[in-house]
Order: sequence, then C-alpha cells, then structure tokens
Amino acid sequence: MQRRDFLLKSLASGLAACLPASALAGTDTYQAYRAGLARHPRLAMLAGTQNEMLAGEASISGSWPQDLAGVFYRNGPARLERGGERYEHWFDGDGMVHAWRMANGRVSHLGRMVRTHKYREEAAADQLLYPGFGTAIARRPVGNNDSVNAANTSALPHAGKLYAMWEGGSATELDPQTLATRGLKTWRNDLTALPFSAHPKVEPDGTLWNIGAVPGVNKLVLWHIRPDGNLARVQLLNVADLALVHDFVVTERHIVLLLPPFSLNRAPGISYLAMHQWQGQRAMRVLVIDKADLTLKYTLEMPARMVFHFGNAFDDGDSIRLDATLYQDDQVLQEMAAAMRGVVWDKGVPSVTSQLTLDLRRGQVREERLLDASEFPRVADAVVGRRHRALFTLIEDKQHGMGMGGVARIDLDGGKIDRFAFGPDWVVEEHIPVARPDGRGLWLVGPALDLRRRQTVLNVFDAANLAQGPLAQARLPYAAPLCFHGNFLST
Amino acid sequence: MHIRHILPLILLTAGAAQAADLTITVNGLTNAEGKVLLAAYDSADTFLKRPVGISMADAQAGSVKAVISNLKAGDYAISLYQDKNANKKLDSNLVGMPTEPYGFSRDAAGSFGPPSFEQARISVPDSGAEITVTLR
Ligand SMILES: [Fe+2]
Repeated sequence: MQRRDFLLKSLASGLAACLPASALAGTDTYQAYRAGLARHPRLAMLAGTQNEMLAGEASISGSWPQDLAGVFYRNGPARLERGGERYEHWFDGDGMVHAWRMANGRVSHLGRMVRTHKYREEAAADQLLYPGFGTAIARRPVGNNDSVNAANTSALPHAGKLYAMWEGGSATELDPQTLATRGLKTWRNDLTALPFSAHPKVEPDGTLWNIGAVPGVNKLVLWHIRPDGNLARVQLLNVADLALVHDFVVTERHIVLLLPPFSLNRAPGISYLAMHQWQGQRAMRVLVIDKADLTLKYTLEMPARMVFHFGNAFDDGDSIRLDATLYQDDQVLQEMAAAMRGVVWDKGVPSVTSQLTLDLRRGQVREERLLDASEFPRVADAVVGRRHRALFTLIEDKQHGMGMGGVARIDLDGGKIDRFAFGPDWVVEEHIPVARPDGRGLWLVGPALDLRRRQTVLNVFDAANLAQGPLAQARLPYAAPLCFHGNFLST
Repeated sequence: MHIRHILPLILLTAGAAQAADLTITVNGLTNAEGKVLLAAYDSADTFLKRPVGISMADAQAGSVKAVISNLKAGDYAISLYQDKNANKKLDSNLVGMPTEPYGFSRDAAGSFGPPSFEQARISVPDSGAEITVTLR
C-alpha cells in the first residue's frame, strides 16, 4: 500500500460542503417554554409529542365529501424535547409524518416518527446529541449533512414512493401505507447526502424539480427527476455568498430562486442559524435558470427581503410572474426562536404575499402586494408552472397573537380576497387545494388545532367559497403536532 | 525470509532509537466493512497533504486499534477514515462531502471545513502515546 492511499486532500474542500458541527450549548428553554405557556395558551401549538406513533378515527361534523378520496401526507417537527432539554428553534425538531386517509365520507389519521439516524441515536441515548438548525449541540460527531437530517419539513408522494423531506440533506423514503421508515433516498452513489430541499415542484406531468443549497462551498444543486421517479439530471451551479434557501418556483421554461441577503459567520460553536447575518443594505438576488440546459440565464436584483415560501410562477412573454411571501428582514427567524422559549412578541413580524413581475428584458423586478399578514401560499397541482388564477394562503390572527388564524383565496384577476377566520381558539395549519374528481373546481383541505379542546381537526372547504366556513370537519380525539407542509395523493 | 535476515532489521528499528509508537483506538464503527486507514501529519503546512506515518486495521463493528510506529517525539495531527468499499480513498459526493466515516485526533471538528492542525494537535513523547478517536 502506498502512502498516497492515505491522503485526504479531498477532505479539505469536502468538509466545507458539510453543515458545521456545533459546540455544546446549555439550555433553559425547556423551563422557559412551560412558564410562557401559562401566559400564552397559543404556545400549545409548539408542545410537540413524545409519542412514536399517533393513530385515530376522526369524528365528522357536517358532511365530508363522499368523492374526496385519497391520502393527505404531512410532516412537521414533532419531537422538540428530550431528556429535559428543548430545542431553541422549531425547525430543529424530529419529523413526524402524518397520513390523513379519506374515503366514503370517513377520515382516519396516522402519525409516525421518521426513524432517521439522528432520531434512532438520540432515542437510544434518551438525550439530544446532534446540532439542529438553531440549536448548538455537539455530543456526537457529525460526519455529513445526513448525520443531522431531521426529515421534518414536508411529505411528498411521487411515482409510487413517499418521501419525508428536509432542507439540508437527503429525502427519507417511507412506506406509504404504514409510514415505517425505509431509509435515505440516494439517487446515485455520488449524490449521497446531497441536499434535496423540502419544496420540490412537481409539474402536471409528474416531472419533479428540486434544489439543494450547499452554502459552505457556494454551490447550488439542481435536481431533475422524471415522472417515473428516476433521476434525469443533476447539475451544480456556483453561487457566490450562498446561505439558506428554503423554496423556489418553476415555470414551463425556467427555475427561479430568490436569495435573501445573508453573510455567513463561520465562527465555531454557534448554530447554523446564528451563522446567518442579515445584510439589509444588500439586494436580494433573483436567479433565473433555463430548465433546458440548467444554466443561469439572468440575475436580477430587488430590495432586501426575507422569504421562505412561493406560490407559483409562469412565463408571460418576456416576463416571469411569481408569488411569494416576503418579510422586510430576517426577524421572523428570531420570532420563532422566541416562541420556543415561551416568549411571544407583542408586535408580530409583518409578512406580505406579493406577486413579483420579473422583466427579463429590462432586468427589473416589480412588486404588487396581494395580501398582508399571510403565509403558506399554495396553488392547485394542475397549474404548477402554468398561469394560475387563484392563490391560497393562510392568514394571521393579528388580534390574538402568534400562529395562523384563517385561510384565504386571492383571485389574481381582479384581486378579490375570499377569507375565513377560525377565531381566537384555533391555530390554523397549511391548507392545500385538491381537485374535485368531477372537474368542478377545488376543495381546500387542511388541519387546525382546537386550543380549547386540545384536538386537531381536518377541515374541508369549497375553495370557491371560503367565507361560508368549512363544509365539514374531521375531529381527532387528540392534538397532532403542528406540521409545516404536505401534499395530497388522490386515489 | 530467513531468521538471520530478520534480526538485523529488528536491530535497525531499535537503533532508530527515540522513535515512538502512537496507539489509536478508533470507536464508532457501525460495521466490519473494509479497513480503517490512518495518517499522521507533523505540521500545519503538510496537514492532510503529506503524512509522516501511516497505519491500517481491519474494520470490525465497535472499535479497532491501530499503531502508527516510528514517529519522532513531537506534535502531530491524525486523520483517519473507514474505507468501507476498499477503494483506498475517502468516498465523497458531488460537492466533495465525505460519505464514508472519518475522524481526527481530539475528535476535532471545523466549521464548514476540516479542523486545523492546531485543533487536532496531539503530543507524542519518546515513550509513545495512546489516543481515542470516534468516527463521524
Ligand atoms: Fe417551508
């Protein structure tokens, strides 16, 4: 054996591609949350669960549509505490994937923890061991991004498979029936542990597009998966000053990303979140990538904004139009961290869902504000990447404090808003449009937490008339942990 | 090889005198695939580039021991990895992220990159030393 066999040259650059391994941080967040909960009942939304599995039949009020048949898969951070310690950020918790099954007017629920490497190790030790997005813990060494994969952000059925999605590493494949964890999805050997973000876009024909950000080496991964679930292409793009990127949009011809202006402080021993330093004087970059050859075609600029989520996008002559929920700055990240330790900010961070027009010829970006105090924009599966007329969002309950309080439909032709507010005792989760099998419009389906009874309720609305309230509600005998995102599989 | 050829070799090694042995216990192996390859570096300039001593051990689930012999007394940083598929390199993905288990002396970790020589620095006296590294 020769000496060169032992060289680890590639490791020097390779480790820069990994999420940082953080140093140990003590925490009194566990106690602080409990004290805060006594003052702010809405913080029950961040209680999480200690259960490995939750299952139950829902009791129906109203009339659940007989022909609404399928599985609504959802995912969110559910295990937020262990061994008397609590994560500093909601994004840190271990994912629980939920399956809401509905057929013949009946609804059942199954929730099951994703048994990631991290979850299995921490369960065995009954202690938090690995760093999260916003929590610096380093009781076990981190090898690569999948060492800390929490599989907690979305659930996606695609080509007969079911995936639990995370932002910084591989998707995790689950059994679509039992939700048992099958393991990390590796599309090709050299794509092991490569970020496959939680907001893939699936076009009407089943083509899947995704991104993955590797901030340490300023590389953006572009994924193209065929409708049959096989890898078509993967491409790396060099992007200077790359930081966290949560979501993106596609049109028929383009992939579009907005890059909130952060610089990364690479100091050791701080969380990934703490490394992000807001640069409000800098522009937000808009990257427009050609789907045909996966090259960067245009870089536009607009005033600094924070963004997590997009609704949809479409090509419109020499322009691209897209909708996104924007924040003035990154304070929303700190607001979520405060809530984890029981602190509710008096004035929440304002958000606005806007339509942006990217004028590719002139290189200009125009913003048209659609709806203040909204988040979780979604459109129907059939219009992904195509011109859409309706955008669905959640709306905040400004009067009663943190968490979302209702649903809204924004008619993009004319700007009419149709909305329904649940009232002070409810925390509303992402609602998504589902096509009626008879082709006569959409339902809007999503859960809400009934704070008074500590039970989760799945709602179904006539998407054309939200203001009249839910057509029916399916009530569980327990509270399911709050989720981020999900997708519907019609059967 | 005849015994009379071996003897001078042993004497020669002994004659190198102050050369020390570094014994490394590697923890955290989840399986027995391949071998654990280890390397010692003696300066920041040569760290992860030119090792001054190497060793290897068959992998086995749990932990293995390896010895890097004949080191001059001084300061070193150790890197090691489990070459599961025995291709004699640390496998990595498209962006270079390692996809086989690896580790450094003092279980040192960098931030968006490998630790520095300084972070992984250990002292090896004439009498030799023993360290433990956990694979990550
Ligand atoms: Fe999201």
